[in-house]
Amino acid sequence: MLIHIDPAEDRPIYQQIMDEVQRARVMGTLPPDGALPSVRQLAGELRVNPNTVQQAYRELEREGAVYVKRGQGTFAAALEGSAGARRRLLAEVAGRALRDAHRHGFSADELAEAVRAANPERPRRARRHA
Amino acid sequence: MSTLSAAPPRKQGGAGQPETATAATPSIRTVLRRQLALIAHTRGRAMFTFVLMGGLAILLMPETLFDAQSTTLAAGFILGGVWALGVWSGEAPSERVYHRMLPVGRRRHDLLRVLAGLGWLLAMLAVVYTVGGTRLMTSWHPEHVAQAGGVWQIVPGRYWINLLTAPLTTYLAVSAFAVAVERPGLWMVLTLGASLGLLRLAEFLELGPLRAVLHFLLAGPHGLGEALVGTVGYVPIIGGQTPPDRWLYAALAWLALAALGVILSSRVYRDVR
Amino acid sequence: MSASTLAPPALAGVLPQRLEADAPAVATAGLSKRYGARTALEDVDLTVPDGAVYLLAGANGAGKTSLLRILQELARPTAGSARVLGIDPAADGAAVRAQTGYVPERHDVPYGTLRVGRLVTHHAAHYASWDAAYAAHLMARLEIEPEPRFAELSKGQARRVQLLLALAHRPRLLLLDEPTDGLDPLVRDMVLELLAEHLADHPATVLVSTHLVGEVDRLADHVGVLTRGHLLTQISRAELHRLLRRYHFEAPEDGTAADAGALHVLHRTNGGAERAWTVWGAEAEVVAHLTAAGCRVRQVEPLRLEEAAVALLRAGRGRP
Repeated sequence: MLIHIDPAEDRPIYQQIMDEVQRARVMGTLPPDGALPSVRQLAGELRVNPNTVQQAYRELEREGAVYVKRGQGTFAAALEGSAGARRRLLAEVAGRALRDAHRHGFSADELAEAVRAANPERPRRARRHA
Repeated sequence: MSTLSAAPPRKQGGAGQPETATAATPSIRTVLRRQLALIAHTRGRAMFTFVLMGGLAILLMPETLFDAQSTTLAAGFILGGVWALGVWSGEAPSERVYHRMLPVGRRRHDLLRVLAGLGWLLAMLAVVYTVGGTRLMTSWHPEHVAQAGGVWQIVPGRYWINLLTAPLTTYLAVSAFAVAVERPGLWMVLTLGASLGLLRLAEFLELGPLRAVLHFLLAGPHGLGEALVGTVGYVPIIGGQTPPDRWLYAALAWLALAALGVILSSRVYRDVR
Repeated sequence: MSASTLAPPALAGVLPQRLEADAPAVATAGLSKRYGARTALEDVDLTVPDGAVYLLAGANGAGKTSLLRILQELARPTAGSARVLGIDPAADGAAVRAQTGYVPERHDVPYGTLRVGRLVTHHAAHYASWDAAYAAHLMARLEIEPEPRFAELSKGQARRVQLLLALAHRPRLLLLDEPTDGLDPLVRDMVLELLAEHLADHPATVLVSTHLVGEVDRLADHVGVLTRGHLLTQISRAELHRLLRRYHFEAPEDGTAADAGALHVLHRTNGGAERAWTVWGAEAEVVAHLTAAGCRVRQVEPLRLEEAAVALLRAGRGRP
């Protein structure tokens, strides 16, 4: 699992850490019962305030996404309804793309059409034909 | 091993809950020991040089020069002043960031530095005087000693006190300046110069009271001059009379005054820059 | 590019100047410091909540160094008072310093002939909580050699020793005056990692002043901005994130957007119809206001700490 954050993003840093953990769970890079990095380790790696990491882990625990084993660390909870989690993740990706499109003056329909047109499947097939 | 007052019990092993800082400050003993060590580590070369030069000078010079009266005394009290400047060199009050960021009360810390410097001054003098004393003892003609009824009859024992009081007085007096002002050497010279100048002026203009006060302080029977070099000029005449001991009272009074000066100057607060 | 005719908004009344905190680690009240005719600090009410990482931002000579020195009793205030960990430094500076790790602005130690190892020993003896094992770990991480004499050290090496001295007794409060000054980028990054790890292992309150605001972007959770001795604002990072944002919008052709005068604009970049304004206020209200003025808001984004600090500093100089 790799956690990437950007302080310039709209979401506060603790939220970004939470989202990254959720992403890793959905993608499978953080399997159920897989250990999360310790607060110290993650704070050091990301150069973030340990309180921020702690807050993210606390919130994740409250949401049931992770569980804490005393003296051992924080672990990923079993993924229930991975389809739902995937959908939520996708909705976020779409939301980000939509905001960007809006900034450039494109509508949601235009964006959707452009995404279909840019589908990476097509050029691969085209190459095969060539 | 250092001692700290009200120190919490130390946990053994690294696994326990880490201990966080408390308001406990180091004991006077610890701070004094640290100041002694710090001076030894930072001024060790100067100290070694002094002891070497002093010892060599005594061994190479005519034997009569080591006494409580002239050259040795002048060298001693000049050393006291120079050493006071050396102890604080590079650490004028406004430059004392490192000294003052340690968890020791500011006045206590300053006074303990002065005390540590004084300790080393005594140590240096002790070495040099031991060399000088040994040479002196061995060079006196046994017949003269026997004739006088003992070594202490040649030069009265109390006279040798001045070999300590003179350097200590100048050390403390200059320390009083060094603790509180940015350029202690300059201030010391200015104060002395101004006093002497004022004395001359008072004499010239015949300003009775001012002249009397300054004369009393500087040149009188209990003045600074008497305190520092009061024993100078006494030539031991075997079986002769010793002059009155007014220099002794002056020396002790000025030593106390210089010590008081240090205590007072440690009250002066200065911002670091 | 169109120049705005709007007068600078009165930001002073808008920017929050007080932080509420129970038992703050540092609190000053009406703190002023004058050096002769020069005013270094004027009526500063600083509040550093317990456990916070508080960034003190400000131009050179804004009073940051003076403020930190007063908290260590290295300088005394002309007026006002300070409490550090519940203690008045002017009354018991030693007790404050015993619980504080301080990295002073200056790099030099007056003992040029002293070996680094000896200074560490000297320093350690003064702290009940000095952790020799941790100090050894820090020396290895910071690549500090005990052998060289102080006069032989570079600026960056001296800085690393100062960091070691400040951290190894696990103080409750860290006062860091330009802690990464003189360090090369690689070491600077390592120091930030070290600091984050230190805080995870030994929770402490941090008051840090730095020119390189960007490097503490992820560490700081509170920000105070000093301009010419005045505390312009102090605010939690979350609130700053929420209230200070950049709005990208298109102004209507007829220029009615000038009606946005009621907004507290800290900075504006105008490129024809396209605008990017840094505005203080709740996003919903600002967007509603701009929309009502006929603007088309394209994007709203929070600012990096560095950008926010620059915007506030600029505003503090009265140049929107």
